[in-house]
Amino acid sequence: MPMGLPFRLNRWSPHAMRGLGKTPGEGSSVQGTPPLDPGTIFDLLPGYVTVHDTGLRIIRANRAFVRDFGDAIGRPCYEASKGEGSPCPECAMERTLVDGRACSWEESLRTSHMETLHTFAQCTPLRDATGKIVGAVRICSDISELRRVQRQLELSQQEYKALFQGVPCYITIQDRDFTIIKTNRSFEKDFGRAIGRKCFETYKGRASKCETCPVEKTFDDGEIHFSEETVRAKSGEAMDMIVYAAPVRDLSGRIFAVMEMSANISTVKRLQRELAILGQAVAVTAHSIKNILNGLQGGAYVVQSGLRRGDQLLARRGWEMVKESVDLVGEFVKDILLISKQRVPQYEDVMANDLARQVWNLFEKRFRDLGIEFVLEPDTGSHEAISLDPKGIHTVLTNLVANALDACLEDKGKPSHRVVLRVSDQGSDGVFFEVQDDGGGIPSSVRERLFKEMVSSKGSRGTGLGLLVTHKIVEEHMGSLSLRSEKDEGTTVRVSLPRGHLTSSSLVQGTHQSPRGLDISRAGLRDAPASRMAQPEG
Amino acid sequence: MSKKILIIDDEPAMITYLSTLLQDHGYEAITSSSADEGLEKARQEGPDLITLDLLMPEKTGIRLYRELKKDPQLKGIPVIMVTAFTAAQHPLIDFRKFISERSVPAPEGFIEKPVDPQALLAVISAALKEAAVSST
Repeated sequence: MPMGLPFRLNRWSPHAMRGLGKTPGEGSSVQGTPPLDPGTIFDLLPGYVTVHDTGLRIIRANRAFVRDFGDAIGRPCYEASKGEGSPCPECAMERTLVDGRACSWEESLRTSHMETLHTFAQCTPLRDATGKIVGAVRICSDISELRRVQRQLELSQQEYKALFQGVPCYITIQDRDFTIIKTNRSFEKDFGRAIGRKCFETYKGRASKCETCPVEKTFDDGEIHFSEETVRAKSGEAMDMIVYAAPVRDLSGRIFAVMEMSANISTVKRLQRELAILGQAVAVTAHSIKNILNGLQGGAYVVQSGLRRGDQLLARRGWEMVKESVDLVGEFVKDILLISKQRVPQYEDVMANDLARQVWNLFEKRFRDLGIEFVLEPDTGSHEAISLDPKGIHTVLTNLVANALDACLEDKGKPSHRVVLRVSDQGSDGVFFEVQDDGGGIPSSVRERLFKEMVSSKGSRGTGLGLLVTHKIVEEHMGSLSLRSEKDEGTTVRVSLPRGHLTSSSLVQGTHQSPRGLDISRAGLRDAPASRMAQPEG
Repeated sequence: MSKKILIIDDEPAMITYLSTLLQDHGYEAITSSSADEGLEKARQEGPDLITLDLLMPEKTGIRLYRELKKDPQLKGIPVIMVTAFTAAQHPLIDFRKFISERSVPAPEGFIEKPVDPQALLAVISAALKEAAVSST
């Protein structure tokens, strides 16, 4: 027994001994087992057990406490188990000593090896025979490991939250009714607060679920599903998305929600469209080369045959064929360069009327010589400049006017012909240019091919690349092309160019990038992309 | 008597080339620059063979071919299709589709642009021989 104790522990009242084991002679011991001394039992108790007097001083400590905190008898608990010079601000033991109520709390202790232990402490008052509080017992259980695991769990929860919030794609958690119950930061930034709203309503402004809904499929079979969707952000911008749906299960394995993860693939889709155009360009090129070769070969043969027959007329006809083909090679190479070159459009604020007049001036004499009327109808309203690449749009209008001229020349059914080059300012909607001819019209069979495949119906007289060039330039401007054609009545091609997609201030000299990138400013194109302009109106 | 060949093509240069080539090799060449006119000429002239351009603005060579092969008077005339397209290059014009159509047999020959004179003459000669055998 430690020296200097005011009383022996085993002489305490039964109240004081409650919970420490049985005293010798009290009750019966387990048969064959020698009775244990309460002091021994006290020493063997797990955790750190200390007995305190009313001045918080330790009057008894179990073996584990002595081992880890040293001989602390006579020292106040705050000093012995915490290394502090004064009592803790809200000492639970002091309270127990006053109100006699047992209590528990969490407490950090510092060992004699300066190791900090997180403990769960319990304190019970000790009373003498009269019921007076004479001290308290404190039992501290080391929960450092538990706290470490808890901390780890908290960290991984924080990590999970950070991942969920920070991942650079849009995540929503949805219930069976497609109601959004959780969203991440990216989603909230671009689609707004959507908790409680339906997925289809938030992403697409729809009143019912989408046909291809992957979330529904995942709820049905518990598998991961995906689909490609076009959605609209709160800014109005349309986005091509790849959408994955994965099940979220509870502990019993039941799917209670589905996580929908969407990535913006607008850039990939744009590249895909450009690749498709490139593929068409290659096919058209091969076709055109064949036609040119055919013209050269045929012309050479006819020249040879004319000379052999002594038929000057035939030889001359053959020579014309050769010359036409050589001219075509020149045009063809120019068009190929236009398409293949990484041409950087040079945007300028220009007056649409001025641009149309330049094209009119270029063709006017040719039309006059051929006896075909060529009319310029400028816009008579506002005269606001529009940001466009003047060279590019000049090429577009030149191609369309040349086509209109050809259509008139080929149409033998009318005594006279007329081509109109029209400009119309649509205010904030942009500007459109129209080229209208009263030629024979484009038959529907050719019309469909013309715009789907960009082929030429002019055989050896055209390369088929003119339309591709036109298409490319219009798409660069994020505009659209539409065509109306009636047999024997003529054809009208409209080039619509949006205003405001690029303003002078947002332009970096010599680039075509809006501040948010090319792909995302195509909202206006979604419904009528230039690549799908083949929707004949007539 | 020389064999009469009808050239149907919307390209004047191609007509000049083919008619010169065929005349040089002892054929009589008659020409037409559109499908409808070609059908009419085929009925009037009763050619021994037709060369038909696949891609023409008014009516495609494929449509005219179907009409020719469904016409009791004209269906026996061998037809050589002339085109710059091959099926591989241009899936839109699905050769297999119209060849597999049961009511219309396959054309007697195909010639791709640029037209190789010897190849064309060989195809024409073979088709004419075949037609002569089947008519006897």
